[in-house]
Amino acid sequence: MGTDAETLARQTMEQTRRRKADMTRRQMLAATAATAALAGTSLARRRAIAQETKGPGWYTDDKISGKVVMLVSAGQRWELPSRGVLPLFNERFPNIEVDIQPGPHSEMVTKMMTLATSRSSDTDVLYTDFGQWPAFEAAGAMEPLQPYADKDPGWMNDYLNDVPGAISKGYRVPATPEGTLYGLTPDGNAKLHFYRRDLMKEVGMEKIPDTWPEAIALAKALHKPDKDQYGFITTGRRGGFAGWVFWGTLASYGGEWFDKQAEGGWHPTFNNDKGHKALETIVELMKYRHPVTLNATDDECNTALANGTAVYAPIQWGTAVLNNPEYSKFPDVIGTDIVPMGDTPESAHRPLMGGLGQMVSTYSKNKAAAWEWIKHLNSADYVDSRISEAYVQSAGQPSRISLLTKYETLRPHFIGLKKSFPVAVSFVPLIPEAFTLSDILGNETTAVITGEKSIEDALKAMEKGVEGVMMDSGYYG
Amino acid sequence: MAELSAAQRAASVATPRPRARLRENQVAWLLITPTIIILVALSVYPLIWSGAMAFRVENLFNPKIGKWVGFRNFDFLLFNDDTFWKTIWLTFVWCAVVVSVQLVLGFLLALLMDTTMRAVGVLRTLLVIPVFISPVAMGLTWRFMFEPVSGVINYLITSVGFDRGAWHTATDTALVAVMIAEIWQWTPFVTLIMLAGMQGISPEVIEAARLDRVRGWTYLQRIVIPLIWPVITVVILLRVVDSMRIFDLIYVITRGGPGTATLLASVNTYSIFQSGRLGVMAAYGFLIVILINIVVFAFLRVLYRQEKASRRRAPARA
Repeated sequence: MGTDAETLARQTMEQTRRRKADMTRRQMLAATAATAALAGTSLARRRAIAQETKGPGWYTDDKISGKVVMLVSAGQRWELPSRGVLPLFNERFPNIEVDIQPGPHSEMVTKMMTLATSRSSDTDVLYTDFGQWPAFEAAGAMEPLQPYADKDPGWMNDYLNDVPGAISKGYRVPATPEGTLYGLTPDGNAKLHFYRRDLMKEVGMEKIPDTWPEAIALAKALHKPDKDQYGFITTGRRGGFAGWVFWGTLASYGGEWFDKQAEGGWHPTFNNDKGHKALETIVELMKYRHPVTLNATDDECNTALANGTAVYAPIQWGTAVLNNPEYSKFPDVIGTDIVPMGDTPESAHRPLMGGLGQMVSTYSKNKAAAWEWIKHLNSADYVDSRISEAYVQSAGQPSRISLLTKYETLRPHFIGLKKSFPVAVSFVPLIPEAFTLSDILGNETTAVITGEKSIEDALKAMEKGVEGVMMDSGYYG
Repeated sequence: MAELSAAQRAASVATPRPRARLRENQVAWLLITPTIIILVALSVYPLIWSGAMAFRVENLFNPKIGKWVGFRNFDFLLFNDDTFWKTIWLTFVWCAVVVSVQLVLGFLLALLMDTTMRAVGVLRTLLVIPVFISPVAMGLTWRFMFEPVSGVINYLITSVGFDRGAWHTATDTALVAVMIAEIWQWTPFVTLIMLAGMQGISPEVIEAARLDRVRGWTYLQRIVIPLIWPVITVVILLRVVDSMRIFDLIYVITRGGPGTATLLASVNTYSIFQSGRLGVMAAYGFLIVILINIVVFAFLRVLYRQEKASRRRAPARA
């Protein structure tokens, strides 16, 4: 046995020696040189590509360190793009760790407010609706960002020149160009008008509805429940979701939340012709509703539109999923336009402005790192076009006009957004109690749709409820 | 002498001296102090604070506006809020229907399983599975099954020639849909407890009933039900309390909608919280606790009396 093993070992060593001898020294040198040249070319090519993508705002910094925790609505336009731009941030700031913590979108307003009022330092960045900014400010939960922005005026100018003023001012308190800067927003959104080109052609109604009566006529023509095809869908869930459907429709009839002419300027004005028209329009559209409508948020609406059971959504929050073949069965035939308007002389296209942005918490222990993270998230080609690319490819819906234009062939609904932004109105009044008030509107709207209340009673109840909240908050005695 | 000293030692062990007793008390306090602190911090303080909040205007979205308003929140809920009485009514309807159906089905299933068949063991194991499923996971599953356009329930219904139902998406059927899910989950629990009660009935009693040719409904009415009445009372108590505080299942399937169709008390409490009206929410919580306790207390009193009466009768029959 021992002899066999020794023989085997000798044979193996001999084979190895021969194999080494097969490659001459010259060959080894040539192979090494070729490998080095290849690596060098590849590196140079990568550098060249990176150089092509980098803009004047590019810089890296390995001196800033720490962990940044960001709370964000799960999936969709918020979590996914944040994760999309993170690898490049790690390249730029290798010593900053970003922890993205997602949560259900419909719970986020309350969760973030609770967090803000609890003075917690567990979260450094909150990524939420601009409608919450006045509430955060009232709670003293936001860090003013102008001192940080002043350190890189080139970047800030690029941001302010690219993001429409109507959007960027929402992240200031008060919401004017002069208000204190408390946030940045990479995410622009508005209520949009989604339709199916193929089905409109089928029923011989190819003109995109411009007014609510036209929209109702189209919903009726498209409604074929026996074929699992429903002519209307919107976010009809009780509370804020239904409230924004009402407010959006009211705005399109020229309505307002408050009577600015009256003493104090904060008295609600719903029980008038415009309010009646708005609720009548919603009730009429509801005749053709998809079954999930009364309990729907964006998730349910987008699913129904993407699977083709809902075919018309004239007042629906923007989303990147409907033109994306990964999510939608009909990516090429779903069109987008501005929300219809009323048919009265005072009517106008006034879609609701939405969108989410980031603030840095007053209680954050890593404010400098948090600022670099949100700045990166809000950067575009000025810093590196790979940021823009990653943001849009990851279902992002930019607030920057340059990106909406650059990617409008990839995401056709960007055209609808660009059309909507200049005339859009805020989805909530920009006061701390905004979400309480939206819930009141939504609860009454749902009561009308379900037949629990008449339009007149619901409008009266809206006014009474809103007035009560405003009185409690000291807007008037 | 030695005996005496032993007795003295024994006496001193039985009744500790004052100093030792003091030390014992101190140790006792030391041991229960952490529990008291936790209890005060997590239970007593929040209860007192929410009690105070019920008399205040407090808005989650504007912490600066807090002020005392006396009984105004209660007055608003009792006399001005459209949803308050509806949610109370829905909660009682929910409780009555769900618990009744679970009791009847649970009793019938227990009767079927109260045999010596071999398959009963396997059935019992299978039956208990729904109880162990998380209500959130189960709610999501039922929600997908109920989907009016793509759900499996409508698929099955239409494949045998019936019309589709709107289930959890329509105001008139949503409550029924959620009730089905709740009944499916908790009937097995009722069955198991009832079965345990039935199997506890003395074989002599059963034998005597057979000899006396007591069968069918009379057997159930005169023998089984009176003998397991204490068990039934416990089941009712557990299920009433549990179904009154239902939240997760409804929140996952309907979130209280459509409209207010499934807006039970617990879901409405959360809905008021989400709108930021903390004072109203606290007042609502207290009113719900008071109203539900009055009804539950009255109901349990009736049950307790019946149970006492049945105890008096049962031995005589046995």
